[in-house]
Amino acid sequence: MKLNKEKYIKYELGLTLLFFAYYIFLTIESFSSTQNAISIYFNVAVGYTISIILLVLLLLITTKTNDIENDERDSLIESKAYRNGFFSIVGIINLLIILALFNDKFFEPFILFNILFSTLFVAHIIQSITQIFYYNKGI
Amino acid sequence: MKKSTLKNNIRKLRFNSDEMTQQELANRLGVSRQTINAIEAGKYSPTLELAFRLAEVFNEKLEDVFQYE
Repeated sequence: MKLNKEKYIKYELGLTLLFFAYYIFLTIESFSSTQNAISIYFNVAVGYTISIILLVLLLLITTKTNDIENDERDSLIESKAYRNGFFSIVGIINLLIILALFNDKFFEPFILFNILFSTLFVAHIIQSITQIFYYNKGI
Repeated sequence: MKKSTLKNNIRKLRFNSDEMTQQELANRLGVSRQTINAIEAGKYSPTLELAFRLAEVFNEKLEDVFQYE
């Protein structure tokens, strides 16, 4: 059984956006302690991982494709997407370092934890959008 | 995005090869049908290796399959 890559990326982006929104909602709801942040992190991380596994299984069962798993075009698009994801992480961390110089608030574990966790989500969203863009517009 | 200047005759060559489908061509080359479609539409420039293999499938020279304009 083979996975339809383009279809998978679109559904995965939907799931990522959904879990990111859920994470923001939970964080705003209980914007108080590091303890809450850890429990939110585990809820979101475990829920997201399970959802991705279910999505892969569902697509493997329902999609009939004769295509090969990963060819040169897929690899090229994937490498460009990883590059954009990496640049977004580097950009946000650099911004954070500069902001931390001027504001002590960024050294608080609770704030730092949430910003870094959000960075991972943002990088993943940028990565998926890059892939969808190149699959549609060509590379 | 910069417009591709690599033209190709893959559609015509497939037609001349007993109406070979994109899927059949993809299977022979070991790539996905979407990749063949993208090459044919000028949305993706294949690697040199894939370009040579494509020409080999049709028993043509590389310059008869792809033209740089």
